[in-house]
Amino acid sequence: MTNPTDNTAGKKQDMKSTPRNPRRALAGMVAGSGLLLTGCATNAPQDIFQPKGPNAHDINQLQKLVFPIAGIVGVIVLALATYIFLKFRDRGQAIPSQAHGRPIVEITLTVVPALILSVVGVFTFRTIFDLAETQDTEMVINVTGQQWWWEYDYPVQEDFGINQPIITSGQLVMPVGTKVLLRETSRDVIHSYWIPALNGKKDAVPGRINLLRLEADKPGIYAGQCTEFCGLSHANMRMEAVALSKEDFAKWVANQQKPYAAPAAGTLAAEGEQVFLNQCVRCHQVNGQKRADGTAVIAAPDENVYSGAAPNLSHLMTRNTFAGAMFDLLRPACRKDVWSAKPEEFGAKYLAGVSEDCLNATDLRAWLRNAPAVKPMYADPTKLGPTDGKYRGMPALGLSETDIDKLVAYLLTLK
Amino acid sequence: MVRTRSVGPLEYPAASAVALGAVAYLFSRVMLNVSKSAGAALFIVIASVVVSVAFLAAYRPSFRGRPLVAVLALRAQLAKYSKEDPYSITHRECGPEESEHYDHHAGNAVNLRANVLATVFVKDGKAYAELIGIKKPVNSITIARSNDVNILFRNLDEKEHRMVIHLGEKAVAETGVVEKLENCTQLAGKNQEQLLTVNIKKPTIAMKDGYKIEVPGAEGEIEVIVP
Amino acid sequence: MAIIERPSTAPAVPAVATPSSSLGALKRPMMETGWKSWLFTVDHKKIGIMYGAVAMFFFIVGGVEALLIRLQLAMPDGKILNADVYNQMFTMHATTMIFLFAMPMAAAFANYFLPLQIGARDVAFPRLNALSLWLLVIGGVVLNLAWFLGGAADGGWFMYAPNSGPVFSPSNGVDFWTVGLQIAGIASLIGSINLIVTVLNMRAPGMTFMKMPVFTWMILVVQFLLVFSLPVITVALVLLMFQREFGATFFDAAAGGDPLLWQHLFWIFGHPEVYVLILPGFGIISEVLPTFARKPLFGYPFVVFSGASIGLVGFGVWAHHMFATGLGPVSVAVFSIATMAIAIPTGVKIFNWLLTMWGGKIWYTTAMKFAIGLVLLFTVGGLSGVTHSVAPSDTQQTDTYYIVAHFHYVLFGGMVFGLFAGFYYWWPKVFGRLLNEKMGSWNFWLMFFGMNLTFGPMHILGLQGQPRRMYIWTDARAGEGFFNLAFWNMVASIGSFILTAGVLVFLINVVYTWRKGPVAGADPWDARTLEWLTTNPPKPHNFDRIPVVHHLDEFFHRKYEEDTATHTMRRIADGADLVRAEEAAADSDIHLPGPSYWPLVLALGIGVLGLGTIYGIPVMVVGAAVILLGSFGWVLEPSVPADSEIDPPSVDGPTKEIAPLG
Repeated sequence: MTNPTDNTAGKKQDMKSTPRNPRRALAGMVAGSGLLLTGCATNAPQDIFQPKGPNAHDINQLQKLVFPIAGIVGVIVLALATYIFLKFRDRGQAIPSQAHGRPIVEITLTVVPALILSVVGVFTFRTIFDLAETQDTEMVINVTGQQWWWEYDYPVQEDFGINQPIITSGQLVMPVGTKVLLRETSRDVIHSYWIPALNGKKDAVPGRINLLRLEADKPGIYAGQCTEFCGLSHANMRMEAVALSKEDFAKWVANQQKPYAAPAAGTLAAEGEQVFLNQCVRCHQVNGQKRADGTAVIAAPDENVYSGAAPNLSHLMTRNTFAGAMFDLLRPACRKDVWSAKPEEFGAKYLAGVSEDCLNATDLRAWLRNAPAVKPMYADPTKLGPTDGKYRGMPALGLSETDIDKLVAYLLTLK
Repeated sequence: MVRTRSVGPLEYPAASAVALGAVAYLFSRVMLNVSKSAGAALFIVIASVVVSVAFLAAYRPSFRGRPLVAVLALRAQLAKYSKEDPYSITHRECGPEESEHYDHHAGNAVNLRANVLATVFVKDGKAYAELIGIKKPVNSITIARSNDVNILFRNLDEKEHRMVIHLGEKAVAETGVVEKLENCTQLAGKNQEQLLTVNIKKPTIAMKDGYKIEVPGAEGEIEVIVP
Repeated sequence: MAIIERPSTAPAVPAVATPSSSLGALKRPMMETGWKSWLFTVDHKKIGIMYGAVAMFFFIVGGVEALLIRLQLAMPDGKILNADVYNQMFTMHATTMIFLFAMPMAAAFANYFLPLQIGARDVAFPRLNALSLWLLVIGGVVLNLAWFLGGAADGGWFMYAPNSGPVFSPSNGVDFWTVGLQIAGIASLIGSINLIVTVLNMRAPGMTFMKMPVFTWMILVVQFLLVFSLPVITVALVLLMFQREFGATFFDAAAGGDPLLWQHLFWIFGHPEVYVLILPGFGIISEVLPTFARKPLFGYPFVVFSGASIGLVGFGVWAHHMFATGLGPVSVAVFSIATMAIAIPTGVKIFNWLLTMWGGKIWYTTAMKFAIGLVLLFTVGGLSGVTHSVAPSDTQQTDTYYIVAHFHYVLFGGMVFGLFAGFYYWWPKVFGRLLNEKMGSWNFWLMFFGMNLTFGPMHILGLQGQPRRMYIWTDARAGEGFFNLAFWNMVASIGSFILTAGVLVFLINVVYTWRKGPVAGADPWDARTLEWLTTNPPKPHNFDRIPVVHHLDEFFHRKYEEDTATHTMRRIADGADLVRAEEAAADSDIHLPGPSYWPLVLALGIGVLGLGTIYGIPVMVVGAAVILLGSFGWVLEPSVPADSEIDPPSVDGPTKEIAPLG
């Protein structure tokens, strides 16, 4: 419900009554659960009443049914209660007759809610099965959760030009108007995938594959958050779903499949690649990277990280976030530019990736300097007994400032 | 139908409830009919009889029936593989079965019926995979790196089959012998299911030949991609 | 068996062939005053008061934890607590409030009033009653000991596997948590069996089931819920303990286990647990509302059966906590519909409470205000609950602050307000003094206002997409405008302090009343049920004469008579006179259970054994030895103490003697 009159009515009622009369504040609040709270127009990015795709829209249809019903029932009950409180106060009347109730009233009061609920039940039933539909899936993305980031991999799908598997993290990129099926699982504990604008939550459970259908109507960026408590940095485990027009998506796919280009010799970035090869490849894979002797570089997160995986950094600078979407790769101004872009301009802005000017160097450098200091993780080398010496999260690498300079220069080339 | 699908048949809990009820009833009848002090003495006698019978039963070798052997065999197997096997704790011998004591309907466990990564079928001598959420059969599945995944194998043919996943090769350091790494399910008869839990640590790009699933004796192989 | 014998004029028949003193060396602790009279008591009233005191202590502990949480979340990127401590804080807040405050406080009311309401002299198993109290205390101590020994449990009160495993929660917090909850679970289980037997066997003559007060009914339903749900959580806790201490793999997907197994076990317990928490509150206000509306409860059988059916259906809705876990559409649909179904008996209760007041003569005491507060707040919580029962809509709401708002309206509004109604209503019964009504009014309005200000905004926060259990929230996702998270988080935090002020007023009121509160008469509220047919506070033996029951609301019907012509009620007796009449016609030779050391010893042994699972076998051996000693002492304690152990029996009037007891 985006009707502005509902919105203001709700606000007025609530603001007026809250400070003075709690009982009316309460009435307002209940009416609110139907009207006031659904009437949000320009609010938080995870507002659940702002569907931006058919699945969330189906859910919202139900919410638009059940919230007003709850609100109306609430108002009726509270109005009745208020009437009773005022009308039957002790004014010195005689002790009333000790009647024990009337079955006919009781039965009515049982049957009426049952009828209301069965109406809600029918719609609920239908929507549950509609949302579970997967037979008409157009695209599949595997989603793997771990402490405290999400990995997305795109199996080979010729229809979308995906000829070799694509692996990324931080941002889920998908084409608009396409029925995308997420096949979710987890590498360690239970996480939950939630992009409120696109669909409800679905847990990522170790050993299981859970399905979640997403479809976006328009290009744009949609915020989400891990919603199953998953340990220390649960609050920092965020996600962003990026919907691109089909043409833009094809461009994105092509770029992701572009072969690795090592930085030109003698540049700062080339020195950065050496730092990367000395430090980062222990966990982080950059596809196509080769050592001086021509052998392929294969990261070994399985030997160093408990979950056995670390974000694949190929084409890092095509993403807008890092560290499990906790930090932005874009400076606030540039970020705002992308987030508030109109649907038709969004694709170009997003595909531009992160330029040197827009890079949020402060957070990136802080992260490289001492990651556990900015994101709570189990990365204290002295306390890794339970995991046989493996980290949960990224440890402090003890890099010098010049190494960090080099590394940042190198990372900027990963586009 | 329900019987074969349920984890434990219904008779066991039902029968034990009846038995317990009978014991409690009889016990209460007896105890209420004797005096307080005689009751205490009687209780001590009954308790000692129960304890001694239980003790004897536990130590009589013939009492250890087949279920116990099966459990012990399974435990030995688990202990054997959990040590050195980097990929999986499920069955690994791809030769003849060592034991007949294994679950022939692995897919009946509730947690494994639902939400497996893929189900591999053999039908009319052909092997193919189905993924939940995807309509058509596929011959390529993607498994995320370092992730425990369950793959169910269902045999629809008359002939017994097992599923094999090929995980590349490993050179043994001292001898230089190249050893094939593979993992198998146990044999599945017609309409039976077996489960394979795998965790592949290295991506496909690190491998010479990649990973694949085969069903010996059936056509077709399923490519396994680890991004 | 410790069934207290029915009073009779014939002298007690001494039991034969039992030892004549407790183990020879230990003299039975017969004192009636001083700390020993509390520590070793088996009197249900003293035990009830101690339950209440323990629960109140943990209410304050849990409240402080809640305040720290709200302080942390008042502003974006809070710095009061770090992530680790925050996780411990919200875990222990929930655990403390549920297992160490709400359940024991309900047990306090049940222990104290249930025997009084059914006209009994004690519960069926008085020593077991003491054992449950001490086990609860020890469970609470073990749970909170972890704070000082490397950090408390940090997996949330739901403790989902595998996050609760030794790798993901390396401190000993979860170990203390599993042990503490198992001990507290034994306490509840023993208590529930005790109360069930009491209700089934020890009702006064004439009190049929349909003449039982609603509070007793609801407590009976709760005890059945506990008996059937606690074993499930115990199984789950044992599995978790084996997983942590002995390397089992029940919840480990790699080894063929299933993380969802924990969730199913936990919620099969956890959902009935919700009703375990809420039904005592319902029971209390079902006593308070009729008393102050001067009308019997509207539709008594409907309220009773709706309570029972809530209890029954409550076992069939657990998976609505798991709509997002990928159960598959069929399961989701079934549990969704079942959840809607449970709204119906709940609605019946609300309407019955309102109709109880309809046509009444409402006297707005503080107790009544809290009872009305419950009806209003629970209505809000119930309606937001209906929005969760719609599974697709729940997948948007679950694990957000909307849920936090919902269950605080249900539990704080529904449970805590019920308990406070009970405090004000029954305080004169227990302590003989009336709580100050003026302070009571402040107490109510501050709590009512603070509660709405704290939890009301959480509806908004949740619907704006703020997830639960986050140690910080970020400005980047707070949004703008009227519904921005920053404003409402701040409002909620301010509200929590107003709420705290309300609770503080209550504590001040308690101290004030204890010092100089007015002495209550025998019947300050013109009450309706049997517990008022005795002095305030009741004598150790409760009733001088076991009442014979003819009516629902027996006490009221002894005071009033209906004029058959005009259908008006005519007062025929004064409550105080009725109580005096009972005293005059007192039974002699009333048999009461005697105090005992053994419940405390046994409880301590179980506590030490529990700690042994963490600290190793030597500690376990000590614990087991103490348990053995306690059990033997208990069993060998004579049913009738030697003459030398009894205070000189009084020569005239009702006498207390030690009855055969178990």
